[in-house]
Amino acid sequence: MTVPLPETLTISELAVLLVLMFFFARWGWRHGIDAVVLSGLFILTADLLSDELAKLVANIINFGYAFVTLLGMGQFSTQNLSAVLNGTSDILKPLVNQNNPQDVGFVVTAILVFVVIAYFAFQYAEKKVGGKDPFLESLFGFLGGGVLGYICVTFVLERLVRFPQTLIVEASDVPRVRIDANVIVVVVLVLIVFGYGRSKASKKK
Amino acid sequence: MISIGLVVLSLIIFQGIIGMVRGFLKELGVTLVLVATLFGIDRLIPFLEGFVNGGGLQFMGLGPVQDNHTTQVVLALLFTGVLIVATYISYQGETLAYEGQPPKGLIGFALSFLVGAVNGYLNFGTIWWIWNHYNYPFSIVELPLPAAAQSIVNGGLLPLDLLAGGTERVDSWGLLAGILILLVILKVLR
Repeated sequence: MTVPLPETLTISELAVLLVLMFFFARWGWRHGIDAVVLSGLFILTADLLSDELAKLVANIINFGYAFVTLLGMGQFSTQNLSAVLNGTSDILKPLVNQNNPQDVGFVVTAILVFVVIAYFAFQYAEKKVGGKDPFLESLFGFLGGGVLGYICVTFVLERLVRFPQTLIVEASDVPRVRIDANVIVVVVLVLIVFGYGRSKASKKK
Repeated sequence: MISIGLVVLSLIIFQGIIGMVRGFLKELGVTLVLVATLFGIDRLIPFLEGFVNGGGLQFMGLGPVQDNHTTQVVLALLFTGVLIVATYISYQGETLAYEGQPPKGLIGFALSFLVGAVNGYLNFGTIWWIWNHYNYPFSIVELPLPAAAQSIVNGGLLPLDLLAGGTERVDSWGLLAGILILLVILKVLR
C-alpha cells in the first residue's frame, strides 16, 4: 500500500532554516557557550572572508588547470597564462571565474572554503573547550549554537538556491541578523555568562 | 561646552577601566545591585508620579510633574540620589561580589572592562534618563541637546528605555526582570 504524497511539496524557508539550525543548537547544548563563542569567532571570520579566500583558491586552481591545459594545447606562454588567470583569454576559459560571483565554480569554491573553516572551527572548539557543561551554560550554548547555525545555513543557502523541482522554497520574513541595541544586550548577557563560566569556583574550606 | 553624550561616554569608558582594575566577578556584583535598583526605579516612578499628579503631595507645594518645576527638581534629585546610594552600596565592600576567581589573561581583562562599562552605562545612562525625563531641571545641561545626543534619547538607547520600557507601561516589565533573574541564578548557582 502506498500513501499518496502531494505532487508539489511546499516548505517555507523558515522551516528549512529551523530544522538545520536545530543540529547546530544541539551541538551548542552538548559543548556549552564557551565552545560556541570560540567556534563563532572563526565562523564569523569565515563568513566575512570566504569570498576573498575563494578568489585566492580560485587563482591556484586556475593556475594549475591553465598550466596543464595550455601545455597540452601547445599554446603555453606567460601572456596566455596570465590572460586565462584574468579571465580575458580567448583560447581557454578559467575553471573558476573569480570575476563572476554567480559562476558555479566560484560559488562551490566559496562554499568549500567556508565549510572547511567551519569544520575545523567546530573541531578545534570541541577539542579545546568542549565537553559537559552546567545546565545554564548548555542552555546558552543551545541558543548560541542556533545563531551559529543561522549564520552557516544562510551562508550556504544564499549561494546554493538549486533545490529539487518538487520542492518549492517560499520566501518568508526571516529576520536578518541586525546589530541593533537589543542584539547588543543579548550579546553582552551571553558574554557575562561566558565570563562567569570561565571563572573558577573558590575552594571550599 | 562638552556634549552630554560625550561626558557619559567618557564616564562609561572610565568605569570600564575601573572594572579592569577591580575584576570581572566584583563588577558583576555591582551589576546585580544596579539592575535591581533600576528595576525598583522603573516600578516606583509611575507609582510616585501618579501619586504626585493626584495631589498627594500638594501640601508640600508639589504640583503635577509636567507643569511644576519644583516637582521635577525634587523627583530628579530623589531618583538620582537613590541611584547614587545604590552605587555606593554596591561598591562598598565585597559582600555582593560573586564568588570565585575571575577569568585570567586578555579575556579576563576584556570581560572586566565590558562589565565595568556596562555598569557605567547603567549608572550614568540612567542619570541621563532621569534628567531627560524631568526636562533637565538642574540647568547643568545646555539645551537643546546636540543632534547625536538627541538621537540617543529619541532612539530609546538609555537604560530605562532600552531595558525597561521607559516606565510608561506598568504592565510591561521589559528585559530588566529577566536580566535580574539571570544574575540571581548565576549568584546562587555556585
